[in-house]
Amino acid sequence: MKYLPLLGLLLIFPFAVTNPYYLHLGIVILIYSIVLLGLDVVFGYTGEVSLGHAALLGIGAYTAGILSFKLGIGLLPSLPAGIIVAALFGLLLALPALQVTGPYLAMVTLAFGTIIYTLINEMDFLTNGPLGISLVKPMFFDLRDSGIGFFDMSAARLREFEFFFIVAACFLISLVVVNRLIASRYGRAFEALRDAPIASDCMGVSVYKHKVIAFAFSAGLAGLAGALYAYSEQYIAPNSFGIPLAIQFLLGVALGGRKSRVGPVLGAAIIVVLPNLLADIELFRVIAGVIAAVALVAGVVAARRGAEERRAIIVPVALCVAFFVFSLLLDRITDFKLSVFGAMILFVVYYLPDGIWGFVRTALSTVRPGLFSAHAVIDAAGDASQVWSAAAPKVAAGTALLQVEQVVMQFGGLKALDRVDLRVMPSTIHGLIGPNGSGKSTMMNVLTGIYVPTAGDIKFEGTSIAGRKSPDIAAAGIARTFQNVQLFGALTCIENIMVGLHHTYSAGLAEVAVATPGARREDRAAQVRAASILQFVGLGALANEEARNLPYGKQRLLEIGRALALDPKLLLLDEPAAGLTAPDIRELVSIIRKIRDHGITLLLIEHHMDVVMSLCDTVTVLDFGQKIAEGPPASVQADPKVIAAYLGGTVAEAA
Amino acid sequence: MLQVENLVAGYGKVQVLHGLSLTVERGQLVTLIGSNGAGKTTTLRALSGMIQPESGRILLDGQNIVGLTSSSIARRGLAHSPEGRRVFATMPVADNLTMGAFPRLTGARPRGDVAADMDRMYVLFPRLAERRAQLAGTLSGGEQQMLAMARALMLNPDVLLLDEPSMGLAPRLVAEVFATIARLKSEKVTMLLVEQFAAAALDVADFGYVMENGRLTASGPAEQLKHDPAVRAAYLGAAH
Repeated sequence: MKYLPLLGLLLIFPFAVTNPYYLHLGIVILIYSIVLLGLDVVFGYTGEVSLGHAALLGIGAYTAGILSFKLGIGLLPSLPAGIIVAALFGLLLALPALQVTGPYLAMVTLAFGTIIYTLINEMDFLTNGPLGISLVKPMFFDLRDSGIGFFDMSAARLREFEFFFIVAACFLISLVVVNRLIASRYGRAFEALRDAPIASDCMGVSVYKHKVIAFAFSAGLAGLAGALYAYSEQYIAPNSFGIPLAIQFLLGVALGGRKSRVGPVLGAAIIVVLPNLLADIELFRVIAGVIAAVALVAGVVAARRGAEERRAIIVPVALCVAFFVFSLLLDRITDFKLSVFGAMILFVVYYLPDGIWGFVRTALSTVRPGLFSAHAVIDAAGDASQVWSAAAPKVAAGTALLQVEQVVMQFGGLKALDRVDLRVMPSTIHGLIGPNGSGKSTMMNVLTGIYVPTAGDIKFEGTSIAGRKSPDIAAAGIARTFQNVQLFGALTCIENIMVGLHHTYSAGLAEVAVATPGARREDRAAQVRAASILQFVGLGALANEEARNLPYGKQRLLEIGRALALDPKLLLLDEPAAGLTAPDIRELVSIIRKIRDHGITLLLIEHHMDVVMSLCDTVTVLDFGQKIAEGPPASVQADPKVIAAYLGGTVAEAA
Repeated sequence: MLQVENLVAGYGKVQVLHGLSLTVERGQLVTLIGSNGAGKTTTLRALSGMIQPESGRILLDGQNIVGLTSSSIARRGLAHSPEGRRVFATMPVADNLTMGAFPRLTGARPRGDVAADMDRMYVLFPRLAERRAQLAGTLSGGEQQMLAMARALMLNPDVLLLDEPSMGLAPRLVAEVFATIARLKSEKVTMLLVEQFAAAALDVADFGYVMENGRLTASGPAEQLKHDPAVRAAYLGAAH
């Protein structure tokens, strides 16, 4: 339904714009939009910078080109072929490249771009080298010149007019698929891994795997765009897909606005149209005038809201006006084309960090709050019977659920854990206490696969998990919270829980793309389950609030809820009461009791001794990486070694 | 020394503080207590310029500091030991402390004896002395907490804001931190303290403010608040 206005616009466009040159620009904008929509998944959502997308576009284009040139295969088969080949290349690039992150990934993709460029150039026998490949548009019924419209059956080569509809259809499908992907568990995973990669891994959502998925998906879209591009231009050569284009793509997403659908389309329009605009002085003046007028309006609105805003807006408004004056004084634009382009990009990046669409969205939201919500509101009702679904742990009575044997964790010369043994019995609460720096959090990190122990073994349900990766350990049934809360800040509370429920989904990428009934059902079930868990931790009313806006104590509860969503058999809580006031602590204690009553085993690191004493069945005390005491809380509390190392005098009961 | 008048502040569209006024006299230790989400941390963040208030005045030694950046507020002598251990993770402990004294080293504040103050920190926090060459990011959570507090003290601040200094510390260290705070108080350091151990905070403070939903609900000498039945029930865990 929401796509109807867009559909209408796309249908009308070729009738309204009769000039073939502008119609062609429209086609190129749509093709670039497909690339940028895909690039935004990588750049906007997972936060990785790719300079390889021009090469991926080229791979799609050359797939179509070679199919036509060597095998005589036409447009329609070349579209899926372009997607598949580019996605495979994307996969090939992503598998090794995404082991690294940040600037390194950008460098690897840059190298990839250069290699592809060189390969296309050198592989004469396949690609016709620097001479390039010419293609012709396929034959189809002539839709426009016939007097009675669609009934003329004389076949002719597709012209811009007909070709526009093919591109528009591909664009619409890409848009819908990207929308579905972002709204699915994959989209949530992408945002989660960007906000808190370690927490993401510990929720069973493998950061590496999902980055590869995002990249391959994005490459597939670039391949589709490439195949369309080849037929649109009817000629492809290696230098159409160089590094400058890759940089333009990135700029397009940044200028238009990341993490949206409008932004990439806007960005595509800018990178296609701007060079043309800058060729025509009159048009350039008109645009500069419009920008200055918008800036003045924004300036007046902002100025009325207070001194703070006035100070912030005065420079950009002045710059916009100066830009307009400059455009009037200028008589030969071509000399300044590149400088003007550069200055505009600099301006947008500096003053509109969320891109043009981000700016518009913010501006419109101040006029009408709630017009653009960053999140789809999920209002599933919780159901107390749906909170729990953990399977009973598979251990024989009297044997430990978790067995840590002689574990050593060494950092350089420091032994953070020194031959520690730990046995956690099923359905108990096991406390882990000790002075700061005694190795408690290190133990948590070893148990969840963040660190690989230097020596020793860890058995969970009788199988060794030492050396396994965090997502595997999470899948085996160990969930955790973090000492310094690690939520997915940009996601809402319910979305945070739904990331924890990632393991309950079985629908893959393809099912999400076509929105099969199974995939929808799964998502609804997860929403109800998530709402139920939120209710259990007392955050039912805050379901659609962004996690980063919650006060600290509520963030801790949300983190516990997210861990519960994993259906863990063992739940590790790292200082859950830190920073909580006395009433909050009482609530927390009752929640922890309920979790235990549902058969989930807990390992609890805590400094509030009253919490430890009232909850734990067994307490282990660490000091300098070694176990100094273990036993029922009362005996541990009375142990002179523990008092000396940890408890000190009687101030322990300050809370 | 520090005077806050009708402070309104928040994050984006969410207004957290709705007209807060409080005063910290020179040499006084004032504590701000309240439940989670009451706006205690937001108050400190607004005071040190980490967020810009929408309206209201903040007077530091009589001068309005609203609108100044965090760094220039720090140069005027207000130090903030933030919640959640924002230490310079890739620097050794000793360098973190030196960074705390940065405005003194550049001449923006009276220099004094930086090396002697550093030694004083190692006396206050012996754990940091043991780890002075270790990278701050590899410290345990509790050690980072101590480092954040010590770093703030290295400014020789006129006013010190402490956000949950005891969070995540072992019981013995909690006692040590409060002993340190008491010692700083005896040295007439002006402090505004936010603490989840409300009882302990009121024990050591001269004056207390109680906050709820971004507004003050009670205030008075710490001794008096400690015996206020409403405060006891809500924040001191008296129902145990």
